[in-house]
Amino acid sequence: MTAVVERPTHAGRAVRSTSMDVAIALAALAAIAHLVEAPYHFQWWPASGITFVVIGLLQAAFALSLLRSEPSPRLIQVGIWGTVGVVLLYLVSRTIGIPFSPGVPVHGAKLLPGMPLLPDGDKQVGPVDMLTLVAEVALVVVLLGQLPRRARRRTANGLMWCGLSIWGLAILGALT
Amino acid sequence: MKLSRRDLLKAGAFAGAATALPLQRMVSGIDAFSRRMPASKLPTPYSVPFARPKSATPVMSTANKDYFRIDMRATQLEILPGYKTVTYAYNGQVPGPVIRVNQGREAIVRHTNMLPKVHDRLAYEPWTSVHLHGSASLPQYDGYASDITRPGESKDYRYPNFQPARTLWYHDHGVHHTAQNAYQGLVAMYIMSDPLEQALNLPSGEYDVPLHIGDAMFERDGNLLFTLDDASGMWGDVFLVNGRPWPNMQVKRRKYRFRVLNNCISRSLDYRLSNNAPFHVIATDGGLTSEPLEVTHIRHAGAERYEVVIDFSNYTVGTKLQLLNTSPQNNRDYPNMDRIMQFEVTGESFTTLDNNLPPVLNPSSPVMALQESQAVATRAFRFRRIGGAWTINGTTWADVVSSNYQFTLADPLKDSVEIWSLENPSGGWFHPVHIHLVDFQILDRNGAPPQPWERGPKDVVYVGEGEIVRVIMKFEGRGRYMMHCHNLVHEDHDMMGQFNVVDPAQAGDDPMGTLAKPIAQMGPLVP
Ligand SMILES: [Cu+2]
Repeated sequence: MTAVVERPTHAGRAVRSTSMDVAIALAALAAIAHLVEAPYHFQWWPASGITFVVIGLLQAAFALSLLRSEPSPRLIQVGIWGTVGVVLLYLVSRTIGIPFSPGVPVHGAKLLPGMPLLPDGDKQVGPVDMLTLVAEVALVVVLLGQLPRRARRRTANGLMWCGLSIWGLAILGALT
Repeated sequence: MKLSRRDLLKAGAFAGAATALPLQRMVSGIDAFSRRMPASKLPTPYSVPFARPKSATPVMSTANKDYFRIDMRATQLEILPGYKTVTYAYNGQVPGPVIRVNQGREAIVRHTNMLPKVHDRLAYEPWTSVHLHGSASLPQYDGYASDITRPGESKDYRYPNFQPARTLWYHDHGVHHTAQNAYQGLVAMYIMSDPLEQALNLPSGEYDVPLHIGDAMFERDGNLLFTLDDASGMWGDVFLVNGRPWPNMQVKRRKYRFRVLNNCISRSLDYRLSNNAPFHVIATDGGLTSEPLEVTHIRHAGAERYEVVIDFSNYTVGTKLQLLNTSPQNNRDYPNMDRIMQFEVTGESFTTLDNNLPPVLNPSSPVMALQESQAVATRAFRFRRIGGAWTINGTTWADVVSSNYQFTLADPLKDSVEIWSLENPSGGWFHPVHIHLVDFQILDRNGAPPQPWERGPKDVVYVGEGEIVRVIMKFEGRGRYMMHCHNLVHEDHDMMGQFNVVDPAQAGDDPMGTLAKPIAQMGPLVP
């Protein structure tokens, strides 16, 4: 664990910790990945393309607000749980699939539930996916360290329960 | 950071849960390639004897119809010596049985899907749709990609057989799984003859040889390895000729007719004899050329058929000639993919009755007589990769599906002649473009005349890097038919569309109008 390194910014405003720099970089990375991937997803299913744009813009806005000023604990909480939401959405998309996403109509345009429109396209995990996912998970951990003590403990507990639930569902075979 | 050990542990529970599953997914994707059988374990080229696919026997023949029954099943075969490979086979054979028919007799084929509900390794449902490639079948019997037969279902296909003699082939066309299904063995020839061809007295019987050239990659346990290489294609490291790795064929000192089909999923070939001796092309996809075309090599993309006559009479007994491959650009190559098979000349006696190569074959093919001046429309189709998807004029089969099969790329009038310009602006890949229903004539490629071997009736054309190929055809028939790239991985990742041949007097049959049924609900095949 590193010590808190504080240094003056060139504007002479408030000081920003290294951890906060890392958080900004991680949020920006996730934002760029979502925006770059959006057009491809739009082609498959417009709703997913729009979701990518929205997520990307929110992540960019979050990175910017961290850059501007010392974030309030409340903003950090928003960052943590927003990012957790994105991570969970991704997990659902790679496992049980997003509800209402298009399938392959067969036999007179009836839908085969759970069949992706693009073969093996939707449940594959590529290097970009993995990089983004790791960045988001790291962002959550870094942001956690920025919270005041009490809030930090509560949030850590929340994250733990969230993680245990995922493990539980995976063990029960609900996430395949 | 001010995280305590306890905080870190709790956050770690989340971090681990969030990344474990995706990480496992990613590693298994990379891992597929590492399961590849090492080159040292593959057979030495030309050590395995050549084999021919057996012919199908009709269940029954009436005055003007032949009935066949083909079952698709998971079947274990020995492809590499000493290994067992699970294949998807038509009637237990890979390639499947050759269906032989005569012009003027309708063929009815009951195709039954007895494949497993889910592929045990690739985890997909092997639904099928059988396309008879080269036949002007009605839309509902054309193997329309979305007209699928699921495991446990069956469908009777009717084939009219009115076209000129030709080498056709039947293969799977099931939406999004064509590449996997065909790769595992759902490919076979269908040979139609007619009086004109019979009168030519071309090499026949054992001297008329089907030659499926395919490629595959194997896992260490002998099973097929299927990889997608970023959806560029499925590139094997073993050539399989009629299902045998780099075989050795014993030939007699006379002429042979070879019906060469490239049934590779993605790979294109450029083959020649090892001594660069010339040989003759006598037929292309749509049947006989006007006269034998002398060539020394052929650039041959997936799904194209070239029939060639090779004369072994001038070679001494014991001569070994190889069929070698110079891989065209943008294929993925491996050791020994520069060789396909070997011919070994023997001194056995033979009949001279059909040892002919007539100077004139079919001088009056209607499609080869088409003139540019007859065309009433010219259309352009651009085959491009956009984002991760393979598209035609920016659209994919998904557009057809989401329009309830109404969206078309073109609506030519019945019996009209059109010129289609097939364009590949990329330098990174080639596309064998297949237009269903029609035979076409290649007018030019980037303004230059077609290759010497392409000067016959065609239904697939090699659209190479940066090429614009113009083809001319007449739309006889009516209804909706597919057009697509025949790199089956491109096709599955959706480089496919449809056109509608419009007859103002009568609507075309619905390609989704005669669906497969559960096996138990099928009536008798022969009425
Ligand atoms: Cu292609």
